[in-house]
Amino acid sequence: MSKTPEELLQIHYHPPKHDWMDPSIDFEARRGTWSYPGGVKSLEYLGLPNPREWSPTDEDWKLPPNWQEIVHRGFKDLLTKYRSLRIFMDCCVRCGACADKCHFFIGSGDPKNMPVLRAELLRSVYRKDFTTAGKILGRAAGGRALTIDVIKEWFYYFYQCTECRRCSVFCPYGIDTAEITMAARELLNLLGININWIVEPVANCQRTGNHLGIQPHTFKDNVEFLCEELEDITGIHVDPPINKKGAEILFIMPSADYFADPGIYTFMGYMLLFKYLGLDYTLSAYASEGGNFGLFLSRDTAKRLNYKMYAEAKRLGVKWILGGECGHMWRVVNQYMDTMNGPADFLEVPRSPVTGTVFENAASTKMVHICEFTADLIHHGKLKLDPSRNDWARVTYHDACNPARAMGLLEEPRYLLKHAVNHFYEMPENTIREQTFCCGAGAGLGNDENIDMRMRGGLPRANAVKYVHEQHRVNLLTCICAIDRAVLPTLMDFWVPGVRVSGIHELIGNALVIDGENERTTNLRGEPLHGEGEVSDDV
Amino acid sequence: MSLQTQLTPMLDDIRRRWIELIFATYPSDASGFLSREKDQFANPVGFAIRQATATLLDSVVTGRSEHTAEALDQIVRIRSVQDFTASAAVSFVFLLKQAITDVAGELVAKDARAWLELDERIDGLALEAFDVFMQCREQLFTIRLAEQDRWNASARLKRQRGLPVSPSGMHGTGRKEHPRR
Repeated sequence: MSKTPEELLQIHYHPPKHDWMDPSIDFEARRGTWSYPGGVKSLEYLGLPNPREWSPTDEDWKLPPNWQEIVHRGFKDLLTKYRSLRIFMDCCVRCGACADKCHFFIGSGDPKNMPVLRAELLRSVYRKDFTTAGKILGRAAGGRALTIDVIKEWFYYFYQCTECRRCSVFCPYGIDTAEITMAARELLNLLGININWIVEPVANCQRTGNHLGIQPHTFKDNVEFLCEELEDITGIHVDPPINKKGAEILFIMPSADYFADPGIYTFMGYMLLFKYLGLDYTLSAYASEGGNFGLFLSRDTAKRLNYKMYAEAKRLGVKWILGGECGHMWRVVNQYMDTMNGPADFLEVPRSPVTGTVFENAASTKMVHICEFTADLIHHGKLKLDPSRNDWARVTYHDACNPARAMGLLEEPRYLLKHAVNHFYEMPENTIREQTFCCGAGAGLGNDENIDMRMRGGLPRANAVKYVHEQHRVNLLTCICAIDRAVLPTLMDFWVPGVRVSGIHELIGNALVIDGENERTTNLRGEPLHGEGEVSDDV
Repeated sequence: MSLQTQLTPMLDDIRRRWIELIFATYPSDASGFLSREKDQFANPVGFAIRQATATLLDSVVTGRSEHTAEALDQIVRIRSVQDFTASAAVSFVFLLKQAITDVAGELVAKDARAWLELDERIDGLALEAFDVFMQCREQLFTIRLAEQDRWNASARLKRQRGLPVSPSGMHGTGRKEHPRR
C-alpha cells in the first residue's frame, strides 16, 4: 500500500547506530562509490590469484575455500617484511589528529573515511590475530575476527583511499596511512579482489610498456601526429627520436601525455623545449609510461613496472633519465625505487648538458623531474620566455600529492609558473604545498563508475579553486600529474565551471620564444592569444 | 504585527537550529566535525550549509528569491553526491519547518494564516531543491561522457582530420569483457 504524504515525511534523520565493528555494505545502493573488479584476462596475464567473473553486488565473491588462512599468512608475511607496518599497527593512540584531514571524510561525512578508522579496519584484525591481548580478549582489546563482511568492507574502504598521505602530515607519529592502504590492497589481492581500472593498466603496461596498451607503431604514430599539430601552430619541425641507442637522456612521461586531453598539450611543451635546447635524448616505445599503477596493486607489480624503465635505460645505453609531469611515478622513484630495483649504478649521476648542474638529489635513482630540470634552465637564463603569450590564462597551481609530499617538489613548479605567466594566484594556505588536497581520484580510483566518490573526494580541492576563481577570476588550474590532468577537468565541470586544466610545460611551450618560429597567433591548443593584460572570460 | 516581523529577532536562533538539524542528517561522528570546524577550506560542507541557509531563510521570510537558486545549489550539489537517497538529499529544506516551530512554536500557533504562507514557501523551496538535485545528477552523467572523449583526445583529433585511428583507449576498455556490468 502506498504511503500517505504524512508517512512519507517521517524521515529518520539520525543514522542507525551500528557498531562499526559489524560491517555491512550495500553495494547495490552505493553505486557510484566503488569500482568494477579486475577482469579475468588481466589477472591471468599478470599471474595474479583467483581470476574469475564476479561483482561486488554478488552475495558470493567466489573466494578460495581457505581464504582466511591466505589472508593470515599474507598479513604475517607483510608484518615480517615491513617493520614499519608493524609499528603503524601498534603505535596509533587514536589521538584523532588525522580524523578530519582526509578529503574523502571531509566530502562524504562517512566516519570510516577518517584515516584513523580506515586503518582500524585492518588494525582490528591485526589485534585479534597477532597480539596476545587481542587473541585472549577479542573485542574488549579492540580485536575482531576476519569475516567475509570484513573483507567486503576492506574492499569498499581501501578503494576509497587515494594514498595521498595528507593525513600523514598531521600524524604525530608519522604513520604513513598510504602504506596501510597498500598493505590492505595487497592482502585483498591475494584473494583476487582488486579493481579493473588498476589491473588492466598494469597488465597493459607489462605487455606493451604503457597503461593504455598502446603498441610501438601506435606510439610512434601518436607522437608524430602531435608533432605535426605542433608544427602547424609554431612552424617548428620536431622529430623526436624513438628508441635511439646511445642517446644521453631517456625521457619518460605518463602515457596520457601523448594520448589524452589536456596532457597532449603538455607533451607539445616538452617537445618544443627539447628542440629549443638541442637535447640529445630519446623517447622509448617500451618505457612509454612513467606512471606505475602497479603501486596500487602490490609491491610485486610496482617493482615489475618500475624495473621496466630502468631495463630500457640500460638497453638503450643512456646516461640518465628525465621524467615528465607525473604524480605517483615520483613516489615510486623517490621512495621505493632504490630498495626495489636500485641502485641504478649502470647510469651516471644526472648532469644538465645545458647548464652543467649536477642533480645530486638524484644521485642514486639517476632520474630527474622535468620541473627541476627546467627550473635550473631558467635560473641560468637559458630560456627566452614571453609570459604575455599566456595572458589568456589566470593561473593557480594544484600541488599533486606525490611530488609535493613524497619528494618535496614545492618551489620548482611555482618558479616555472612565475616565469611563464603574468597572472598567478595561490589557493589558500591550508590547501596547497604539503597540505594540498588530493584530486579525489588518485591511486587508481579515477574511473567513471566511481564518479560520486570522486566528486566527494575532490570537493575540498574544488572548493579552494572556486575561491580563487571568485576572488581573482582564475580560469586555469595547473598541475604536474597526469591523473590530475585526466580527472580535474571533470571535477571542475561539476564544482567550478569555467576553470580549465593544464600541465606546466604546456605554458612553458606557449611562452618559449624559438628562433625560426611563426608569429604565434594561438596557444598550443590552437586558441587565439589575447594581448597583454587581456583575459578571456569565455572559457 | 505580522508573523514575519515578529520572527525577525529570532532568525539567528532559527537558522542555528536549522543548521543543527541538517548536520544531524550526517553520521554522528561527522556532525560534530561539521559544526566544530569553522574554516571554510577545512570544512567546505559545513561552510556551504552555514552560508546557504542564511540566504534561504531570508528568502522564506521575506519572499525575495533572487539568490535562492544559487544557495540551493550550494547545498544540494554536495548532497547529490553524498550517501543520500533523493528524498534524504532534499529533506533538509523541510527541516526548516521543524526549526521554526522549535524556536518560535508559540508565535506560529497564534497565526495560522501567516504560517501557511511560510509553509508554502518552504514547500516551494523543496520542489525547487528537487529540480536542482536532478540537474546535478544529470550533469554527473554528462561529464562522465565528456571525460571519455577527453581521454581519447588523439583519436578525436585524428578523426577530425580524417586520419585512421588505432583501437586503443584510456583505462577501462576492458569493461567490454564484463557484460554483467
